[in-house]
Amino acid sequence: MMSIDTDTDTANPAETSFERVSRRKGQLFRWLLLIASFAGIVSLGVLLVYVFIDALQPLTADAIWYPVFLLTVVAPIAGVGLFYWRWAPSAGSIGVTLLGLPVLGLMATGATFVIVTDVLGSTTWFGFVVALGVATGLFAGFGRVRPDASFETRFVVGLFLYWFALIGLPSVPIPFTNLATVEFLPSLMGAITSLPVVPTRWAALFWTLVVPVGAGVTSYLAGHRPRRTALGAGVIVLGAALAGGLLAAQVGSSLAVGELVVLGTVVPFGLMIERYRVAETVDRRDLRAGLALPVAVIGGLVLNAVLSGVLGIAGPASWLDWQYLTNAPSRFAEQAGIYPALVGSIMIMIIVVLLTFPIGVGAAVYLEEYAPENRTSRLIRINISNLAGVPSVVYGLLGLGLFIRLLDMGLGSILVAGMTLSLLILPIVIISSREAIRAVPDSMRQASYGMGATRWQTVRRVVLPEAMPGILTGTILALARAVGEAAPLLMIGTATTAFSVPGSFTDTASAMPLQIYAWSELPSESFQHGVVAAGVVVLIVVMLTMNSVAIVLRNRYQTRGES
Amino acid sequence: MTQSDMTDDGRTEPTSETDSVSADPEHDDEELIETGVTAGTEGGSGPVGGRTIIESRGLDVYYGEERALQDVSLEIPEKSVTAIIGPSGCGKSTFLRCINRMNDLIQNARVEGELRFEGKNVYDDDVDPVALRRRIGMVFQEPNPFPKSIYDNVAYGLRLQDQTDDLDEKVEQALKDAALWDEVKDRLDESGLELSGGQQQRLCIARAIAVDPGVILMDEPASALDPVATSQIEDLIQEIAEEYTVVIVTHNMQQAARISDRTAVFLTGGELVEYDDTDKIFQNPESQRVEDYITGKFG
Repeated sequence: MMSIDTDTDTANPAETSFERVSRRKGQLFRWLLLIASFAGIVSLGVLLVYVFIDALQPLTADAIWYPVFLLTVVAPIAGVGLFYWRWAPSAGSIGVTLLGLPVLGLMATGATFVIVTDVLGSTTWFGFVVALGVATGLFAGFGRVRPDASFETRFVVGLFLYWFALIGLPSVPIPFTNLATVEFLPSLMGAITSLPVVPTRWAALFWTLVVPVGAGVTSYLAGHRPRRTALGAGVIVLGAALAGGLLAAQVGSSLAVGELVVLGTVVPFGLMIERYRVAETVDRRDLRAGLALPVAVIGGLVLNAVLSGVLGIAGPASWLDWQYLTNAPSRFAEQAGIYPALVGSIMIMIIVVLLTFPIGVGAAVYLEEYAPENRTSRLIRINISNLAGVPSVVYGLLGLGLFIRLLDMGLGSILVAGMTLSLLILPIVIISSREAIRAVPDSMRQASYGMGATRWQTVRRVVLPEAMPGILTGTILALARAVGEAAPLLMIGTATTAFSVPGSFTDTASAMPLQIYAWSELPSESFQHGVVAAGVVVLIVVMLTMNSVAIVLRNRYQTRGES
Repeated sequence: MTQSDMTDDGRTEPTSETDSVSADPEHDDEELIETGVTAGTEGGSGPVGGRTIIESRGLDVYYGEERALQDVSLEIPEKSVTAIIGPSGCGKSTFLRCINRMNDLIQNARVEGELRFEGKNVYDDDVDPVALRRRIGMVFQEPNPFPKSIYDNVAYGLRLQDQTDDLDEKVEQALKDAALWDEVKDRLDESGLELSGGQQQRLCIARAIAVDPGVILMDEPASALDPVATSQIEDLIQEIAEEYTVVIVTHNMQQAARISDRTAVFLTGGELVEYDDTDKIFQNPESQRVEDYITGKFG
């Protein structure tokens, strides 16, 4: 058939012709779309470059600094990048992971250190962890002794154990008298913290963080390595942390800082290498090549610092430096720092996470999996969608009216700030979690119910694991929005400038956006162009970190789902 | 064999129901005789005549106002393959989903009449649909393994019921029974979604039989598969019918003729037109409409 057709085609002298169809309107539309896409990105990019230049002041260094920096830092990194790009493409992602993990670990370590030592106090933290560990151990022991206990029994026993570990029997006023009962039985945590001899800061951190992490490393390795190797690795973790602490103490920092920095960087780095070594899909040569990037970056930075120190070269006089991160605000731009506001922001975010994750995900699960389809549930769904669009100032007003005027929780306290921001992002968390839950194919639920699963089992074992990457992504993006909010915090009377780190969650504190706003009001040029820009960079770095964690989580779960 | 061990474990919850029924043998006989008349067949003692395990009497199903099944009465013998055929929209899947009460999950579905599983009406108030489904496995049209490892897929039902003793052996046995073990034994940790369509469907069958249910319902289990995978599934169905009762909905009449012992023909409007031994349905149906449908004159 085909051959006959072509024959007649070529044989036909009167070949048909086609006129051109105009695409001019389409072309115009396409270029307009391109401009629209770039307009926002480019203007934001320009602004960011401007801010970064202001914050880092890259042109203020000695002339000799630039070639030194180029040779020690830029050239090695560029070389390694070129090597990955040309010869070892699969080593690139390994290199980025091996570099990124310790950096993320370092940031997590910083946050942990701030919370444990400055906010809670190492003694309280020590008591908390030990009491929690004892209760968990007893609960596990109960499960061992009575493996066939009913759910109700286990619930009551668990409640009892954790209650006495963490809360105890506090003094309760007896009705109709002015007597308060004496503290009948302090919690285990209270008992530990009131002991006459409490471990020092580094020892408390050692027992509550280093030892558990070492035990975790051992138990992870014991799964696929000989016992001796696993135990050895655990001991190495403890030793390395102690060595790091001693080294830090030598160079003028503290034991506690040193051991945590080692714990937060070396352990994730080592574990990741171990995972790559175990994974059959990773080539040994790629792994070795992947090590080049962290070596080039860290080695280059260290070399640069040493050289600059020895030769007496002054780097750029950045506003954003270590002192800026650890100092309190000051009247003098050179001494101003963002530390109290950073801690305030972290503490507010802790409240927000603790509130929005359970409430938001819980509401989403209820609305998607349990709620009957009727007018009430439709009304609730529509209203939640509308709440997501309410301006943040209005939520600030709600927080002011509800938490401060009505419940009298203290003007501008961290707790109120966290609760107000939670209200603000709850609708976003609920909506994105609902989308993630709805994206779980119904055939999975059918399969689960068909196997005789209860609704709880289906939600717990099928729906939530499948929806979790989407839920986490949505939640983290919402949290990133909350970090940058200023208006609702102003409404509830959060301090714009705080000179000391808040001691508890009921204290007032500042937050980074407010501190930046306060600085921008000051008349001095160096505040408006230097200190503010540095604050903006810190804020952006925090948000970008949260977003990249969200992206990594999503990709991880996605590849797991496919593979 | 492990099979009998599993039976003991798997039937801990609902034994009381079974006992109460089998303790009353007269009652059982009565049903056999009575339904033998209503269904208009040769009675329970045909060529495949096992004990009746599923029996429906005057079953009506409504979706809102729409009537999906009309007065369906039939009885299904155990350890055999019963095919349900009919044109689309005739209610064959609806009937299948009545047996393990999957219709409960559809909000406006309403069931009237009786459906007895081992003598007990599953729509009685004291029947827990979850416990019922643990004794009646189901395989769906599209292969729907969980996005978990092959091992976790098969172990799912066992874990739901806390039967985690000898889990490895039970998973292995189920995969062997589903004729999948040799293909996956070296990669039990891989995701079930990595498998081909036919393997996925056999994984779903392994998942269903791992908990050793009495009955396995299959809703067009081969319709999404290629011919080779389909014939593997068909062989498998005939094999597992030695130990389990299989009820299979199919729109493929050749398939029904190849693998089933008895065939029920539903026609438009949710009406059971004829139910008999498969040979008789395909060679000498009593109803003219069934003959027209089978010979392809309509449907």
